[in-house]
Amino acid sequence: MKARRLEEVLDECLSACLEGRRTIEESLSLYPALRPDLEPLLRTAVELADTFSTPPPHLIERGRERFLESAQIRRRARDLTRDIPITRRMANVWGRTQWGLLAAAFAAFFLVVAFSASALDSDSPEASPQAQVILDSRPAAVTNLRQAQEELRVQTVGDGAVSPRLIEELAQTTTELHAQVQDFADLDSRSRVELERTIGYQYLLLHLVIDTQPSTIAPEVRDALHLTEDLAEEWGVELPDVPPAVSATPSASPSATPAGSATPGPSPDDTPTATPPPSAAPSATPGLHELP
Amino acid sequence: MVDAARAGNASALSELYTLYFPRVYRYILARTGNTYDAEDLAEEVFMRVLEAIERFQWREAPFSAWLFRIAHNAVISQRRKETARGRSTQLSEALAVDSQGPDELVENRLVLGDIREAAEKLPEAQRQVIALRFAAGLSVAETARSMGKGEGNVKVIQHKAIVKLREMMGQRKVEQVKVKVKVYEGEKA
Repeated sequence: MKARRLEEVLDECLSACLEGRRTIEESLSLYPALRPDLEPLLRTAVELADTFSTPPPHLIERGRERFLESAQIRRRARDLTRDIPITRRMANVWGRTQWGLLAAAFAAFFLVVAFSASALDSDSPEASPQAQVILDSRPAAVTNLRQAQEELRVQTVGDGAVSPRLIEELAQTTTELHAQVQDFADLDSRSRVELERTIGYQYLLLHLVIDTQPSTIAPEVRDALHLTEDLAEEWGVELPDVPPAVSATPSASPSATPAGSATPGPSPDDTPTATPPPSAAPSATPGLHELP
Repeated sequence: MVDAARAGNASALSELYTLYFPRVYRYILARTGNTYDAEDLAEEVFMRVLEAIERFQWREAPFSAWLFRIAHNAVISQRRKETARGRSTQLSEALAVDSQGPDELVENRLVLGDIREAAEKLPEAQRQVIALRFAAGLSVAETARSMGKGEGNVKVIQHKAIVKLREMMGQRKVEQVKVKVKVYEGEKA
């Protein structure tokens, strides 16, 4: 009975001390009969609670930046697929897996970029003159490209077909960006990461177009994709892995090319890395790489 | 705040992080005794939170209980990895905190080292209560929910843990005094 009471009183006094409502002495004066048993335990517990140090502020701040960056990446990955009609997105298990893989690829890619950014930032806080150029010209170059990407994304996941003009605009904006960046290696880390992210995103987005859009825009998509790949190679940017289900090139699937189409036919080398399951129903407007 | 964070609100997520990161860090420090592990694992816990927060439901447990269950799993998982690698935690690493001066650092290392050594001899449930109550600052109710136990049970475990720790720490102090006396006697002779 006494032990039970001591447990209750100990916890009551501990909570009061830890929350700063009472001092140890004030607590002990409330329970004089228990003082001999209570005092050593209370002092040990309070000493124990004081032992564990709090993390240094810079650690909290660095962690918060990474945490919020990851949250943003996840949101972007989710946004990418949010407008896709549910019937197309969730047609069957194959479709769900495909979109899951794509979202995972986005998340993984941006996580890698985010971590490399924080690592690089600690090395070079000062921006180089060239870095200043790209940062100053962001509205004209990077922002335009991002706008073009967003327009393409909205059209890609919408019900209508993507306009070839939009792909051409994307390619043109990419070329403009290329022209503005004289030497990618001279940029400061933040600018490099921003460009890497933009190019990686574009690469995945174009694969998404390949997967979901009719083959009539194949030449434009192929050109834009090659441009993106060339740019990535020149800048030494590692492009994200494309999930097998969305890794086909524009003229990939023979069955996806409509009969009598003016677009170039498939070559033997363009075999898709993944084929839809046999149960996939043929579509009225066959895509470059059909969603099942 | 938690509901806003679940919806992806950046400011709510930031607030959640500010509120809970130091507590998660202290909890992991109490469980591992290593600041480097505490830094890495605390960040990892919040990455797991991001992955799982959409599935969090109030009716199952309070947010703190849910969060510290994730932290507990992260510690267990880390321990398994370390066991597989054959690495054991170095007590000397336990308090490499920038804000402390050299004297304070050494003294704190010794205290934490003693406590950790003593705490390692406690049964798992007692260690868990010590970490949740005194390092993470959870209430008895939150600790109980996090551990899946009753509040009365947690109070009993807490009491037993403090009694044992006190005994062990007291014993250590006696041994330290004996060593000092021997050294003193040796110097005099």
